[in-house]
Amino acid sequence: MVRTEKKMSARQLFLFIIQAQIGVGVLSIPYKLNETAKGGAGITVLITGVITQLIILMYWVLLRKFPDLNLFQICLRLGGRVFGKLLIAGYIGYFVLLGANIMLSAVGVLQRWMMNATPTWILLALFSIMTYYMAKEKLTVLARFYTLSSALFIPLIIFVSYGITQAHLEYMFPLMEAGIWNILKATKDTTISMYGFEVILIIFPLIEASDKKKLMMVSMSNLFVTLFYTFVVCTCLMVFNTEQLRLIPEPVLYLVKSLNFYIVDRADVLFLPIWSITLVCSITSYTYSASVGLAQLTNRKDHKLFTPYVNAAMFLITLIPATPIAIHRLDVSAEYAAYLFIFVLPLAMMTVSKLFKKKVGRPA
Amino acid sequence: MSQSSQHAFFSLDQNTKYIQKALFDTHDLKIKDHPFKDTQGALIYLESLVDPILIERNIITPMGFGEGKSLPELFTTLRMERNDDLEKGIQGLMQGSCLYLLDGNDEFYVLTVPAKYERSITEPENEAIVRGPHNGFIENLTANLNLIRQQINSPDLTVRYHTVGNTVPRKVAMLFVQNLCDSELVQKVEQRLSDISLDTVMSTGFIQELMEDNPYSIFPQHLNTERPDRTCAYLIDGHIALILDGDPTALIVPACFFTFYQTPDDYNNRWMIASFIRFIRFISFITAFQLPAIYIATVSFHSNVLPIQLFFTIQGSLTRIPYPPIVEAMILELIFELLREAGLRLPSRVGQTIGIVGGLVIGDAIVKAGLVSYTMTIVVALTAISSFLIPSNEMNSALRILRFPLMIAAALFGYIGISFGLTLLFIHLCKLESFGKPYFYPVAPLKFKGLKDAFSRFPAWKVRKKAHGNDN
Amino acid sequence: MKRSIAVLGGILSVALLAGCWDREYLKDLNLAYSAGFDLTKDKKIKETVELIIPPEAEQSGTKNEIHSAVGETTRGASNELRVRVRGNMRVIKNGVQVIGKDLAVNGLKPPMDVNFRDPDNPSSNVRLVIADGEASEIISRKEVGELKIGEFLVQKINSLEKMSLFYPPETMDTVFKALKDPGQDFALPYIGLEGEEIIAKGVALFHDQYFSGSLNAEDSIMLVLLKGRSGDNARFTKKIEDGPLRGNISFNVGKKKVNRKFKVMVGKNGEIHVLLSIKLKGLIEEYTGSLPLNETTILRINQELTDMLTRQARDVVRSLQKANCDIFGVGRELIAYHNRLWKQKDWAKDYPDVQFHTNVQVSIINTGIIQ
Repeated sequence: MVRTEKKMSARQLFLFIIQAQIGVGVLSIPYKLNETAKGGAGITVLITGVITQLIILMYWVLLRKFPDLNLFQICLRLGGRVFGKLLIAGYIGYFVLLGANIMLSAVGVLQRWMMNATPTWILLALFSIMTYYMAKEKLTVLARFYTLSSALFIPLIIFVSYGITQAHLEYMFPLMEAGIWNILKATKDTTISMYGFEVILIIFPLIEASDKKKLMMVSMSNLFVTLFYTFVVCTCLMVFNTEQLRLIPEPVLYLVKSLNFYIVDRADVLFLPIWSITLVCSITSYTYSASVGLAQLTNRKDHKLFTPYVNAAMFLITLIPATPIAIHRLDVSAEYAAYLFIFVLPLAMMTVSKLFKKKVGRPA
Repeated sequence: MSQSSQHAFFSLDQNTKYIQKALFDTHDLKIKDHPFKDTQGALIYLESLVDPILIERNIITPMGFGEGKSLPELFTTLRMERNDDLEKGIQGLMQGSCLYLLDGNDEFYVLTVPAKYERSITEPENEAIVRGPHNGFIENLTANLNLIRQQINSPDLTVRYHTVGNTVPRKVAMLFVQNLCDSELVQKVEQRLSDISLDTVMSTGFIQELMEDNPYSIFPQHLNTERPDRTCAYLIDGHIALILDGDPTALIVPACFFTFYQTPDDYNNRWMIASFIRFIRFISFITAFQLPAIYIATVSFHSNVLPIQLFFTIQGSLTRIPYPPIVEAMILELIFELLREAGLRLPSRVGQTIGIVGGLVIGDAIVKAGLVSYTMTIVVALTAISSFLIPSNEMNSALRILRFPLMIAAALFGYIGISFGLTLLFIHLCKLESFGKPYFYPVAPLKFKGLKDAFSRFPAWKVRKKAHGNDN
Repeated sequence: MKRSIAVLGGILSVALLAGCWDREYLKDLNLAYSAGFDLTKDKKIKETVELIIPPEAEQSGTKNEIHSAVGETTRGASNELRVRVRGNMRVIKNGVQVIGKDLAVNGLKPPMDVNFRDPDNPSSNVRLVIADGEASEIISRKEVGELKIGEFLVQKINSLEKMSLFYPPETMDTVFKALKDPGQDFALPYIGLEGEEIIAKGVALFHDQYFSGSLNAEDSIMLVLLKGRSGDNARFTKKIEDGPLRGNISFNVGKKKVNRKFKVMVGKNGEIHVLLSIKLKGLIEEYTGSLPLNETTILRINQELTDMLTRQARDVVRSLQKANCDIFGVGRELIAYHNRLWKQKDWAKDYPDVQFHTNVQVSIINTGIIQ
């Protein structure tokens, strides 16, 4: 049975990008930012939001020039057969790397907080199974699931909001303590947590909406994510003082740990399984993108065949680092890969495409 | 079904002998000599299939006044055919017609005089409601169509007959309302019906299996009901109903997840009560298969979630149990399933005794003996009660079975295991489609208009007609 | 499809065969509900725990056992204990931790570190209490009346919080916060043994992580009011010496909200002035004098009480400064709003020089059902 990709609606796009963006980074952003930006971390997040918005705009300009083509097809068009295929392979590698990175961080957090004794590979295998089962489906199924799991934001936001009851506004002041330069420098740490919107490069042609509407939806997702992160960061800054934050790598979880409802004593034990579903969504977007890339590379229509390989590759990559130093190295390599693939290459592609005077249509 | 044909013989004897042999000399084949205008003639019928009153009234009596009239004018049966193919005649015999043959003619008459032995129309036991019509389908297809047509008087209601089954064919009626139903859907259903190649179709269950999008899934993709009012409601909503002759169950397609949570009671009661009851049904969805898993995960992995008083209470009840909670849960669930299956087959008089045995002996004694704990008994009992809340039996069974893998996942990995299991479950639900319609509509492709009827029941004036949009 | 099922099945069966790792059955846990920590003569930590034993049959109550062990650190002592007690002792549901005075004087951070680090240790509901003397003596009491010692302590502290002796409740979380905050100090409930009974002696004041002083019970209530909060009740009994009003007055200022003004101002030479004034509204619960409490009498009572309470408040603040306990968070205000000045100060030395201008104003609004 040939599975044709039906199209996604604009509302689903909004939730899709949000789910793809929110990942494991938000748990530890306040910690990382506290080192450099101190009280001004909220401003850092807002600035990062602006940066990502600019990148999204750049994508939009690029994609508009090639209607109905996704990233891989654009690569082929602009780079010719050989160089284009190299580009595609590069992107596939990037997606796999980033997906593995998220999976590793996620499992790391889970291990430290909840399941100390379970071997890492078992948790990794669980995540891999979940992402495999989801990524092999067509896009509309992914969109449906993401929409469904967006309902899980509500308990997340409620949990973090409870933290405001313990907040002291003074902990965040003075805002500019670190100085404007540090605040700007700190955006480097935040950007990696906001990645996920690059999946728009792959799904752009599969959305049922006008170009303008697509841009608006993605921008709104970015806005929502930025505001959410700002909210989380500011709450953490107000609940914990600087000295404390220096010691706590995941302030959000620490905050949730101190919540006490009537029936449940430890809210973080509930928070983490709910959170892991959002993480699965993020990893799946990368798996899906990589599978589509592989399908494009081998000229097949259905990405279902490639998903097991992508997942196996991610699983193997996550098994390699065993010490915190090795994990850190993986993080750094993911960061630099991201700069290349998210920013530099699309920028190059956009400038090259400007050389084409008119819009290019569907490939034959 | 043998497609051969046999031209009738001119001799009456030869014809009757042929027919007897074709029916292997079955004893309920009756041949009555009945001459007409001095020609030898015979009435041949299967006495198990014909109504003798109809024969007498419409065939024998008019033939007695046959002065000057020809046979076709005399027979007053509803359907009369002239045929010369004996095989077709035998088919007619099988369907309750009687044949009248005249010696010297190679044509004979096929007259429909079917007998009807029917159940009276009563409310189906499994689908009783509090307020509303109390009739239900019976085995005869025509009677069922009658019930439906009485409720939907519109000429838009179309019936299409199909036959399924190669060796023993059965008649299936496909009903839909012209302007309200998607023509693509109609085509799909007809296509799948004709694709069925079985020797025979014993019940609608077979049709269901062969027509489903995903027969490996645990969730049913057709709704089956024995109630005409429910069928009509779905027909008006744009669904298609399939009724098999001889089976009082109607199949409704396409069926989505939330269809299984609706009963006619919801629409017959006032909207606030109906919404409240629907809400309770959804809570039962959560408790019906997650409660044992959550309990096992909490008690085995994450005891720090419990508040301190509850902690000690549960610890107290668990101390004397020699095996882990998962084993305890499995034992109790097994006992409960045994009780339930036994309860289905008990004659009602013995049922009371078993109720006492099950409740007192097993429930109380097993705890006192230290084999299971009180808290586990409460959990399993609550789960069992919740699983009965679901109006559809098939969905019920699906959820019952789902309980076990989730319990195992919880016993292996705690809350992460439950999260894992639920994620896989919901991915599956998002993936499933029933004849092209997403299974988890209206939650999965989020359509707010559809939500009005899913989790609650908005008053009738607020629910506008279904929008035929791009369902993805 | 079939292949993927086989692969999934393979992975899962491996997981099943290998067993489950994080599993800890509830029935196997031995809970240490309350713990006491002392400093022994050779600078080691002595830990005394109350273990809750689950009931023999359902519906009967739980029992407790007291055990004690010595180790280099908190976790070390706990490990020693595990050698002695039955089963795996876990502290996942701690209710209260009592710290002996010697240990508190030596610094709270090292012994408490394990509470913040281990994810299984709860921190949001655990009360921290300082004992005048040895904590092990208090825990070893085992039972007070019908209640086990842990329950007794928790209930006692809860009721004292309602009486505004300690407010807001100091849990492990808030202590952690304050331990790490250079501009804020904290105070913990201070209990002691008097004869056979465990009584609340007031609050123990801390400077950074060291125990540096204490306030008695009435002063503790005043401290709570100065912080701007109150529990359900805050009762004082004052004696008016002379004049026609002579008598004893018991009044309760906890029922109404405390109106508090707290302002940190910086003078020209970097001196810090703190304006702290509270307005209290009280209900008279008992009056042993002879005058009827009509409007004029009440005005005079207000004046008397204002004077008395202001004096008391100033004494409290003096004790705070002597103990170097910055409980109002003056330092925090400086960090937030006068950051440059803060960087120049050495707070440990400069806090006692801060000039507090404290004022308490009392107004009686209710005299009960008789005049």
